[in-house]
This record gives sequence, structure tokens and C-alpha cells, in this order.
Amino acid sequence: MNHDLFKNSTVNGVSFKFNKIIKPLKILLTNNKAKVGFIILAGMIIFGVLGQFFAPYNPNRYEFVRSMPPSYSHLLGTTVYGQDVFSQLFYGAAPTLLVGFSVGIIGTFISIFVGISAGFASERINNIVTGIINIFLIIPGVLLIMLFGSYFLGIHQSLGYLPTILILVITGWAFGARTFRSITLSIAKRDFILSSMLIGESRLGIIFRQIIRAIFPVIISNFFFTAMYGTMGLTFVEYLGVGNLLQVNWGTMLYWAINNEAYLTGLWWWILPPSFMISILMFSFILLNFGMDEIGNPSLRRFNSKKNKKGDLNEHPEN
Amino acid sequence: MIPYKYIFKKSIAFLVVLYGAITLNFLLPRLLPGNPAEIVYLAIIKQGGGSINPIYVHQLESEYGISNAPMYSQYFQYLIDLLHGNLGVSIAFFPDPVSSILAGALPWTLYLVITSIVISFFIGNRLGRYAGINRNTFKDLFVDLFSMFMASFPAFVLAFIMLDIFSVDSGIFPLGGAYSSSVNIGFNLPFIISAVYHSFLPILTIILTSIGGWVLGMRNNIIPNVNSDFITFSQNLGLKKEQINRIAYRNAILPNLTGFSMSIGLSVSGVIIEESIFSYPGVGLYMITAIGSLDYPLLQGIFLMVIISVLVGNLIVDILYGFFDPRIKQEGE
Amino acid sequence: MSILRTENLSKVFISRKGIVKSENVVALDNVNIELNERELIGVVGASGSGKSTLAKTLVFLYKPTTGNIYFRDENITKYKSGKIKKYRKNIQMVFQDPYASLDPNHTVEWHVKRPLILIKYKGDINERINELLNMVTLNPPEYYRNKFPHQLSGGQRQRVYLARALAVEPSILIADEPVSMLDVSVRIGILNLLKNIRDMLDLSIIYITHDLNTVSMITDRIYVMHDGKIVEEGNTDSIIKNPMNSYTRELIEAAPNPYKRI
Repeated sequence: MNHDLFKNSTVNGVSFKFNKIIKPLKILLTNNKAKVGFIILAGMIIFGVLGQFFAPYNPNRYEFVRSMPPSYSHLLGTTVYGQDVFSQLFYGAAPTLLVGFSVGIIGTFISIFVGISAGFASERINNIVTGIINIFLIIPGVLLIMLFGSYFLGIHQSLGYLPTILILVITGWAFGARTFRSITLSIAKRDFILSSMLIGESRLGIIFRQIIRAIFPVIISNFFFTAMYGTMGLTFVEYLGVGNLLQVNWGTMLYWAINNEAYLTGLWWWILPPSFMISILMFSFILLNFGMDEIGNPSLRRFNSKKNKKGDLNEHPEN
Repeated sequence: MIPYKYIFKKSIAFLVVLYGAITLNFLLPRLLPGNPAEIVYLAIIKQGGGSINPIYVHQLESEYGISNAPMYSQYFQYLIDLLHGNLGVSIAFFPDPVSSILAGALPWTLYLVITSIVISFFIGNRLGRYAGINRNTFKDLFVDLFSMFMASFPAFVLAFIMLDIFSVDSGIFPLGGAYSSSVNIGFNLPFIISAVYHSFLPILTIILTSIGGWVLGMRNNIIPNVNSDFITFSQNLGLKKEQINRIAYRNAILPNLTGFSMSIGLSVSGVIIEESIFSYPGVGLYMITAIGSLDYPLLQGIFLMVIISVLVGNLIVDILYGFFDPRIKQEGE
Repeated sequence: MSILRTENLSKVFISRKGIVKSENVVALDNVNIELNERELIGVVGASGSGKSTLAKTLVFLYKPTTGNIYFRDENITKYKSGKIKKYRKNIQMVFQDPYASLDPNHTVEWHVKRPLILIKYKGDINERINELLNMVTLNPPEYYRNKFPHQLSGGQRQRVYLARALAVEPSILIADEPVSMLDVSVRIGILNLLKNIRDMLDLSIIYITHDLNTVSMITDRIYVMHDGKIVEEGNTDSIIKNPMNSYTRELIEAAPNPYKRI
């Protein structure tokens, strides 16, 4: 009997480690919204990676008949400059995703750092950092994009997407920091954190071993929110003309289409495809964002979810 | 009871941020690349036909640090000019002073921002309430999908499409401007009708693009409330469904009110972009022009005005919030 | 010899109302208690009497407003963070709610292992975890080690927490209502465990509760608290049989007694 139990626990031990690796994915797939969002996003990533190889033409070639409506040889027609829109759409996917993800990852890291340290620090530091967060939240992002964008205008070519990502991280980190600060404040008062302080765990130890894990769904949810901001922000940076307009991405496609008044001249095949691609990508980020919110906040979930009893989810005993 | 301490605290924070913004505005042209001072200097000489008016020399000194005066005295000069409402002279609209351009443009922008933010807040919260109460039904799904789609479609593309359909193709709404040239500006009915008519399309577009956040936020706020113990208790007391929903709604709207002050910044960003698309003579239209012609004095003025407006808006919302939330009244926190 | 002693310990919380008005809430009012080596004492009082504040002040989760705390006759009131950390190796606290005091994201093993790593336990940590789990009668330990808190019952959780606290090898244990959230049927088990641990490990224990029935079962001496003050102290049996203070009498009257009918 005893032997049996022992055997069981090693099996449990192995599956626990296995769980650790695929846990984030498993959490995602317990929620319908997140599941749909994940499938769309995966499709987008495949589209972006394969697009580089399967695009029928070089997106930067200006040699086709200008302003051609969609046809068999040009599935989405051509631009007023004679570029193939379909190829541009394919090529533009990867950079657009790249900007969205980079802003999501870097922005989330900054907001975790600022938010958690504010929430777990002394009251005075908390107040100061909260003030800084609020300033970034209330200053209209457009102003900051213009300001920092004009700073990089001359040197864009040599730096690729770095300035754009930097601008969007600067204007986008504060939303997450606010969330992390308030959630850390509430967790820091819980008994299981006090308990770790009592056994002599350091603040950093508590943050890395416990707080980060407790707010993991929120981190993921915030990543998708910031990635969403990054994607939308890319289109704004390009629209305002402070991005690198020679690169092909969905933002620059819109910029050129709008700049050439495609909406007035009836070139719908130039302006609508990038709009809808951005929309679908944003849609998947929103779904993942809200799906993760529902996972992190069980009261938003459907009642009949039995999975949470099995223990794959992070559930807190209170609230 | 009036929450004095709370108002006091918020006012102090307001003044601190305001001072920071004013100082940042002073430092901006000194930090920006491409030497704005030189650009402005050359522009003014060009506009003035080769000779430079002493008034503008003074402006260059106080705003761009062209003079050799030490930084602190430049800074004080800048503050004094600001107190007199002197923001310099625009380059693109030479020789109009920036302050008079802003005085003409700011009311229109404020009108767009306030109208659209209030309407979208109320409709968005009602829709979110509707979705949250009917959660996991087709009504909920429909509202959710609509909100997510609206939140995910690039706002400026929507504006262009609206402009194309309703103004260019069908001519239902005007192509631009804030009022028709045939009416007299002032508090009279034709002018008001004309202004509302001209602003209809921009406001509709801003509402469409900003409503999604409110709907989804409200939905997520109200669901835990609908499931909470005191709602179950009220149900057991025999309260009508509509009464119960009202209670849940009232509780759910408080966190959304905090979001309200945060959304002012986002909303202003949106309005600035929409204005340039609808050729609406607000701050946004001037900003795009100012960027195009490297009109730094105008840009600086816009930057300052927008931030001050946003800060004042925040202060007002924060103070109102203090009256709404009973917890603030008691603790003063 | 006393191992822990407080001298006129007071804790005042300030809650602000308006710009100038503020109201002071006196949670502890000149509390003098003394805990001797290997002693199990009780602190009894209704909710709001300041018991939990006392517990949290003794482990430095709150700073005392005035008064002194002596540990082995050394005044530790003014200790700063580094020294507090050292002091806490001697004193551990068991929380009231075992559903909140264990991290839902970590296993039983982690909860017991962390304190062992932090005190730099010399021996075989694996062995030691089993030993501790055995000590709190979680048998067989292997069965429990990889369980998450939500897979355990309230009583089991409280035992796990006890193992975690004991891993630090403290000389004092403060148990703040350790059984009030548990089913009546498992309370006795936990209380017996507390008593056995005291005997086995030579611990000194402060048992804080509102429940006079349980306090009379295990403690040698009790302090009765009311509105932040100690109103009565002495031998448990004599106080329960012959309470001097009127509040103590009310408390005893109010205690549920299966043989008494209303």
C-alpha cells in the first residue's frame, strides 16, 4: 500500500514538471474567448512567417500597371505606384506582428517592474510611482508619439523598427503598471505573503516566487493588451508620418493608401485589406486579453466549468 | 459632507503635474533635434522679408534659448510670458500669435471631446449593462462582438470610410468645417444647428471607436456584482429584477468612473486625429499643419493647451468622483 | 525564566477623517504579558479585543506605538529589518485562516522546503521534510508532498502550515485562532498536536482564541483581553471556575455548553 502511494507520487512529480511547461497554454485553452483568439493569432503568425516565402511578387517592385482592380494575377489589385497589394499584405504581416509582440513583451516587463515594485514598496515610493504612472496615463499618447517620433525622424532608416517600438513602449507601459500596482497591493496583504515574510523570505524572493505566479494570468492578459496597443499604435505612428515609411507593414500600407486618397478614388482593395488584417489581429488580442481576464477572475467565468476543480487553474481561496 | 482633504490632495497633485508640464514645454525646443530655434529664426526672417522685427527677436530669446542669457533667466522670462498669455507667433499662420489661434481652435476641440466622451460613456455603460445582465446569451455575444470589432478597427480608417460614404459620395454631411459660412457666429439657433450638423459625423466616429472599451469594461464589472451575495439576498427579499439590476449597475459604475478620468487622454488623442481627417477647425487640424510646416511655436502652444485641458478635466472628474464614492468621503483617501 | 515579555505595549491606529480631524483606534492599551519557557498560555477575548493585533505586533508585522517587547530579557522593540529577520527565526505565527495562509500556487513540499533553505538547514532537506510532515501527522508524507493546498482539507492545511512554521525551528509559536475556521471534529486533533509539539520540541506557545472551551483544554495560564486591555490573568482553571472580572464572567456565560439549555 505504502509502496503504491510512493509510486503515485513520482508519477505526480513528473506530471507536475510537465504541467509547468505547458501550463500557460493549458490555462489559455480552458476559456472559449482565449481559445478563439489563440487560433486566430496562430493563423496570423503562420501567415506572417510563410508570407515571406509565398508572396507572389516582391512587394517593393513598382513595375505593374497602376491602380489595377483585383484580378487573377493580382489577387488584391495594385497600388497607384504599381505595387502588388496582395504581396504587400503578405510581407507586411511579419513586421506588424513583430512590432505588436515586441511592444507587448517589453511594455509588460516594464509595467511588471514598475507596478510590482510600487505595490510592494513603502507607502511613499508607492505614491511617487503612482504619480508617475498617472502622468503617463493622462498625457494624450498622440503628443508623446509626435514628440518622440520627431526625435527619431532623421535616423529612422538605420534603426529599423527600433524607434517605433521604443515610442510605443514609452506611451504604452503605464496601463499595465497601473493594473499590476493595484493587484500587487491587494496580494501583498494576504496571509500567504505575510507568512513568507515571517519565515524570512526576502522581498525579491516573494516577488519572484509568489507574486509573479499569483498574478500570472493578469500578466498574460496584460501582454495581449499591450500587444494590442502596439499594433494599433504602429498604425498611428505611420499615419502621423513619424515612422519609417519606406518599410512595408500594414501601418505604412494604410499611410500610403490614405495619403493617395484611396478612399476617394475608389481603390478599396488598397485600403480595406490592411484595415481588416489589423482588425482581425487586434480582435485576436482582445479575445485573448478578455479570455485571460476571465481566467484570472473566476467570477467572470461560466458556472459550469468543472476544470477549475482539478487544479490546473490559479485560484485564490478568497474572492 | 464635502471631502475637503481629498479635493485638497487632488488640487496639489494637479498643480505639481501642471508645473511639470509647463517646464517640459520650456525644455522641449531645447531638447528636440534639428535645432528648432534655427528653423524658427530662418522662417521669421523669410516671412518678414529679410528684416527681422524686434518683437520676434524677443520671442526667439525667450522661447528658444537663442539669446546668451543664462538658462534660469530664460526660464523666468518664459514663465512671465506665459502668465501674460504670450505663446509666441505662429510660423505657418504668420503673423498670427499662437494664443489667438488656440483661442479659436480649443473651444471646438473641447466641444468634440466632451460631447463624444459623455455620450460614449453613457451608451457604452448601458450596452455593457445589457450584455452583462444577459450574459452568455446571444444578446451578450452580439454586443460583445460588436464592441470588440469597433475597438479593433483602425480609428482613422473608419473616419475616412465614414467621410467617403456620408460626405463625399452621398453629400449628407459636409466635407469639413465647424459651421457653414452663411450663419452668424453667436448664440443663435441657425448657428447652433449648423454647428451640430457639422460635428455630427466626427462625433459619431469618435463614439463608434471609443465605445467598445466602455461596453466591455462595464460588462466585466457588472457580472461579479450580479453574482454577488447581496444580489442573491435582494432576490430573496423579492425585489423586482429591474431594481436588482439597478443596484448591480450602480455598484459596477464606480470603477468605470475612475476609468473616465484616464480615458480623457485617450479621447483627446482620438479627437486630434479625427479633426485632421474631417477638416474640423480644432486643435488637431492645426497640429497636423504645424507638424507639416515645422511650426514649433504652434506645436508647443498646442502641447501646453492640450495637457492643461486634460489636467483640468481630470481634476473635475476626480472631484466629482469624491462626491460619488462614499468611501472617499469617509476616509479622505 | 521568561522567554517573551511585553511591557506596557500599546498600538494605536490612526484613521483620518477630513483635513484636521483624525480618530485614534486603540487596539492595544498597555498590555503586559509574559511567556515562560515551555509554557502554553492562552489569550482570550471577543473579536475586536485586540488579540490579532497583539499577535502581529509580537512578530513585527505591526510596529508598536509605545511600550517594549523583551525577548530572552533583551529589549527588541527598536530592532530594524536585519535584526527583525534574525528575531523571526525564533518566533513563528500560525494564521487563523488556513485557506489564506498557504500559497495556492505552490505544493506542500515547497511550503516546507522554503524555510529549510532559508535557515540553511545542514542535514538532508528531503528527509527533514518527511520528518516534519510526520510530526504534524500527515502520513505518509510522500502522499502529501506534491499536493496543492486546494487538494487538502482545512485541517490538513493547518497541519501543513504548522510544519512550515516548525521548519524554521522557532522557540516560540503564536497560534492566532488556529482552529476557529475548522470543523469542530478536527479541532481537537490540531489542539492535541499543538500540545504534543510543545512537549516534543520544548516550544513556548501563545494560543489566541475567543473560545473558552478550547482554551481550558490545553493552556496552563490565560490572559483575558477586552478593548485592548488585559482585564484578568492567571491560572486557567481558577479563572474559569472563579472569574473575578465582570467581563470574564460574561465571556464564560456566553460560551456554548452542551449541557446548558437556554
